[in-house]
Parts: sequence; structure tokens; C-alpha cells
Amino acid sequence: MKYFPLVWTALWRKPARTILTFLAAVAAFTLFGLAIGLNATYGGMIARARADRVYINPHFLDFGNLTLAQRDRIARMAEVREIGVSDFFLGYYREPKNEVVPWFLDRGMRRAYPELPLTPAQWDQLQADPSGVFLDNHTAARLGLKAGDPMPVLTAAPSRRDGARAWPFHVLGVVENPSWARGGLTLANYDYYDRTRPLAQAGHVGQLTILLKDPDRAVAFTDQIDRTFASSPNPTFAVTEKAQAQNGAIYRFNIPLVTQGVSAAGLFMILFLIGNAIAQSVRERVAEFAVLKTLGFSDTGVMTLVFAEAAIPCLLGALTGFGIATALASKIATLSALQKMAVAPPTLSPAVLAVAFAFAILVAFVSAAMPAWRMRRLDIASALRR
Amino acid sequence: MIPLRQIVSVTMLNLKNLPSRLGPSLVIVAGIAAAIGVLISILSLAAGYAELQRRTGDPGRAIILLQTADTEGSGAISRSILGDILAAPGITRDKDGAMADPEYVSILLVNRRAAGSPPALLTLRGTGRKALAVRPELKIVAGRMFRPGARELIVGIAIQPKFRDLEVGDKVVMQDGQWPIVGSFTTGGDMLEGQIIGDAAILMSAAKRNNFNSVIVRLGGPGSLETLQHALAANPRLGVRAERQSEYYERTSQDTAGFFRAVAYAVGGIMALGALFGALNTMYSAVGARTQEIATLRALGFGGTAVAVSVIAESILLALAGALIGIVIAWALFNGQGYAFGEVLFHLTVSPTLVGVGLGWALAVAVLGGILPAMRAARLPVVDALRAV
Repeated sequence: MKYFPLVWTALWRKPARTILTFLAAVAAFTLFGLAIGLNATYGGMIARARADRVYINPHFLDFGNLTLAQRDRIARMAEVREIGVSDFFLGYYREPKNEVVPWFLDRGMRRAYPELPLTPAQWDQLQADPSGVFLDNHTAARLGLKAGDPMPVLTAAPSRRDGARAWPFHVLGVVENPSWARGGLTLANYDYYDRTRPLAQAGHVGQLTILLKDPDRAVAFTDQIDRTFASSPNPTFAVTEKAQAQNGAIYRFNIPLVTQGVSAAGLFMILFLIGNAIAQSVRERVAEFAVLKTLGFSDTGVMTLVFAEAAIPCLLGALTGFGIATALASKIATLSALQKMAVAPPTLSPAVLAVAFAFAILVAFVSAAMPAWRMRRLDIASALRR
Repeated sequence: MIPLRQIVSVTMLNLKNLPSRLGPSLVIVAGIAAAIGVLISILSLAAGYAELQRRTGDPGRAIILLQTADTEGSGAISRSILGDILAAPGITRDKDGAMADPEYVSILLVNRRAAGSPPALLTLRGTGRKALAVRPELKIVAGRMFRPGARELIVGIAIQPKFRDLEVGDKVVMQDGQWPIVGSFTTGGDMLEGQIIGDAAILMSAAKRNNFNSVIVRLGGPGSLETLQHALAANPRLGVRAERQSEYYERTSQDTAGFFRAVAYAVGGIMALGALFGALNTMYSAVGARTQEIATLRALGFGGTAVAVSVIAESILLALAGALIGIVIAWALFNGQGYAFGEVLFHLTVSPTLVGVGLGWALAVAVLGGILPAMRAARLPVVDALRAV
């Protein structure tokens, strides 16, 4: 540490070079932070996915091709701890561009999906007032609605038993948007939906949500469910919550490939830049290093000084880049281009900062390796003779 | 034109000396290669997606949807109004009536080829008797067309490399039993090549659905779309509207293509900024290394402009070399790669336009990165510089 002023002075010998190197490092690490942060977001989603939860969908993902009878049969299976029913339709409020997707929940969802942002009192309210809905604050803001407002939702085609296509919902309350529901939430009552939709569809279910007693049995359970109903009139497609989270991150966007590619390209870019800057700086100061050695600096000591000179702009660049990435990440979340695609914003956690620092040191080490080695081997007599 | 000759000779002299500054020069080349490589790679996603939409949307066709439906996915056109739609003016007619195909759209779970990967969703499309008249680009390449009224399917050629159990002769589990795949087809690279097609009426009966999603019609000459739109609007009982098919695909792909482009320009922009700092650094040090040479040239009577231009020319040459390397790498890695985005299969495309975009960005970085060092070179105090020799 006591040699810090020495390194610092060396850096400011050519201020333009040092500042440009630092700025390039800032750019590279801004990108690195965003990319690795995005990876962390999706990694976190997969890690947080509950191992004991399974979703059962209709194999033919048109509408409502599972039934309450299947729910009852599955509920009796020994592995099942909780089971909930949900369904949805595509509708809109006032104009087709104001999409609304009411998510109809039965009583069982209260325990099968405890992440839902409803208090016990709100659940009771949803059961007691069947045409009431709870909106999250994003949806409420998008549609300009507040608690107590009527919220008629229309579907493209007739969707009610009476042949109409208007659903006279009203807003019971507005709840905080949970980060897992980026697209927004419109929480509604399944029993009301089931008894109001056309008779031919009554008793149909969009999805079953199940909590298992033993998480280790989840994959086997999904296979068992699909086999059980394979040749029934309503075949199933059962999936664990883990597999579903992986599907979204890896197979839809291929987040790991994209983020790793982008961060690698950013680091590659500054590798040459920093390597060149440090090589030049060292070349210009060969005599100075020879003097240091004459004063008693060890070979390793001189080498360390060179590494430090490369590491300081890298580390400061990583820190600043991380700061900029953090500021950008909160802006990114509100960009409409990303919201439409339901992309989650990057998570700039301390762990991501640690990774950025680790790579900053690695880049400094690799880029300064050659000049540092040269200074270690430097022969005092011949260097001073020049 | 003495200045021009000066510019050329100083630039040539400079470029001949370039190998002696190889190390610093690599900074520009590598920086630009990385930035442009990333930009072009991500843009190739947007370009491939846009190209697919462009090929799918035929301006000679229109898609008829419910007024209340934004896309064919949410459309529901009942059989009861079909007759009135098909009778509307503006639609081309052949000897058996309107060249119009009511279509049904659904999705089907299929297995990916990669072991251990979860199933994916593909679009399952139902077409009718007039499908080939309306979509003449659809050609069977293996097996045969499905027979009208039969529980048979054909698959697009883009599907088979990525998904299994979808070869001609394989069977697909449907709501009412197993349907054989009897053929595979090409449409010359449009979206349908990533879809599975069967008879609309039979698919709808299997799914217990009564409504079509859309009607695809072949338009007559100029003005026929407007004729059709007026006729449909004049009959509010129908509640449908017509949209040129090319405009429909442009509209419905906007969000996704815009998303890809936003990501590409954001990432490419940050990379380019980094490359710019690198270029500035290199060009300043190049000017520093050439101090004596520049001073000598100036003393011999060469103008400041010639020296400045030689600096920018060097920066441009290095940047373009880097951009070409980046483009070649992006092209080698990604051009023609199949990509499945949700239900849409497409190929990444490094198009000539993208090559132009890449070179343009590199040029901009080179000029921005060269201009300040060039000004310093031009203003170099000759006497001081020579005294330092």
C-alpha cells in the first residue's frame, strides 16, 4: 500500500492515456455488469423456482382442456399436498390495444400459490364478491383504474353463457406488483368464471398448480401424470416449476449464451487496449524501473508495480461501470420495448460486482503479464546505460 | 493540385510505416472487431426475423380478422358469416369462386432434438380447399399433400432439423388419436416453414372449435384492398376488417424486431464507445511516435492538412480492417443459424445491409477517434519538435 503514490504518479505521467484507458474499461464493465446482471436475474429465477411445485397444463394448449374431474382425481394422489385451479382468457378494456388477461383463481390457489400478493382478507373478498378483481399497480396504472372502478372486459368473440362478450368486472383493490409478474396481474374468481362461461366449457380448467409433499418426486410425478392421462380425452402436459423457469431463460432467449458472448467481447476489447497502454508506459520508463531496482526494489516488487498500474484503471473502471449499469438497470425496467417482451431487468447484486472485480483483476493480470515479466528480468546495468 | 498530391504522399508514407506501430494499431483493430462483431451478431437476429416477416407477408394478399382481434391468434370468425365475407368484392375469383382460405390457428407441443430439453410450442395451422390457390408458394418437397377431410398433417422443412418425431411417416398425438405426417413442404423461407399444417375443418372438429381465426384472400388489382375494406365496413353485422398481409406481419412483428434492434444498438453503442476510447488512445500515441517524422515533413514544406489527413486515413484503415474481421466472425458464427423464438423459427441473417451498417459504424468511430489526434499532429510546433530530435 505504501507504494500506492508511486503507482499513482506513474499513471498520471500521461493523463490522456490513463483517462482513455479508464473510460474504455468503464464502457466494457458497464456492458459486463448489465450482461452478467441479466444472467443473475434469470439464474435467480431458476434458483428460486420451488422444487416442490408442478404445473399441469392441457397437452393441447388451446383453451380449457383439463377438467375439474381430473383435478379431483389428482387431488386424491398420495404425493399431492395442495392443489389449485386457474384459467384465463384474452380480453381487453375499452380498446383492443388495452389487453387484459384475467387470471381466474380458485380457493386452492391460496395455498398452492402463496406468492400471490393477496392478504387473507383480500382472498376472502375475492371469494365473497365474485365479479370483483384485484389489479397490480402496473396494470391499474396502464388502464387508469383504481379501487371501486367498474372494469368491463370484452373478448373478441362471445365468451359468456348468455352469448355476450362483455364481463362486468369491478376493481376490488390494487396490490403491489410482484417482480415475477412483469406483465401485470388481473386476479379474478374462477368459480364465477366457470358458472358464467358457456355451458359446453363448464368444468374446464386452464391449469392445475400443485405442491408436492416430496420435492424429490417432482419429475417422476410429472411423468406419472402425463402417462395417466395420455389416452384420456384430456391429455396433460405436466412440468416442474424448475423446468419451466429454465425453459424461459435458456430456450426462449438463450440468456447464458448471449450474456456470456457480450461480456467476453467487451473484455476482449479492453484486453488489448490496457495491454498496449501498460506496455507503452513501461517502455517509456525502463530507466525509472532500473533506478527502482538499484534502490533495492526486488524483482517481484517491480513486477507488482507494473501489475498495479494495469489493475487500477481496470478496477476503477469496473466499479464505475457497475455504478452506471445499476443506474441503467432501473431505467431499462421501464423501457416499453423490454416490457412488451416481458424481459426482466438485470440484477446488479454484490455478487455481480465481485465477479466484475475478479474479471478486472484477470484482465489487468493478462494484459500486463508481458511488460511485468520484462521488468522483472530487467538488467540494471544495461538499462541504465541507455 | 499540390495539396492533394501532398495528402496522398504523406498518407502513403504513413501507411508504409504502420507495421512499426503494429502493437498499438492492434488496439483499434481488436476493439472495432469486437464492437462491430457484437453489433452485427445481434442485428442478424433482427434482420433474420424481419426478413422472415417480409417473406411471409404478401402485398397481393389480405388477412381478414375480427375488428376486435389484433392478431390471428385471438381471431374468431364464425362459419355463419363466412359466406358473406367470401362474397365481398375485391377478392380475386377463379372458376370455383373466391380465392379465399379460412384458416384455423393453434399451437402444438413438440419435442426438441437436443436430449433433456423441454418441449416447445409450434404453430399448428388449419387450411382449406383453397390453400394452394391462395398460397401458391407452398410446395411439397417430400411425401404428399394431406388429403382434404383426412386426419393428416404436413410439416415445414424448417422444423425437422430442430424437432424430433416430425419426419414423414411419424405420428403426432392429437386430441382424437394419432395423425400421420404425410409430407413436408417449403414456402421459400417464410414463417409457414416453421409450422405444421392440416385440414382446418378436421383440426377444428378435433379441438371442438367452431370458429376460424382468419381468412386469407388473394386481392385483385390495385385498389381492390380498399374495395374489400369498404365492403366489409359497410356490413357491421360481420364485425371484420381486412388488412394487407404484408402490413399485418409488419405490424405484428414490430415489437419483437424493435426489441432485437434496441438490444443490438444499446450493446453495440456501448462497445463502440469503448472502441472509440481505444482508437483515441492509439491515434494519440501514433502521433506521438511520429513527432519527428511529422516535424520533418512540415519543415520540408508539407502542409498541416496533409499530415492531419494521413492520421485520419490511418485510423480509418485500421477501423475498417477491424470491422471486416468482426463482420466475418459474426457471419461465420451466426449467418444461417436456425433460431426458435417462441413459436417462430427463423434464420439469423448477416445481410449486405448489415455489412454496410457495420462498416458505417466503424467509419464513424475511426473519424471521431482520429480527428483530435489529427488536429494535434497538424498543430505540432515544428521547431520544438525538431529540437527534440
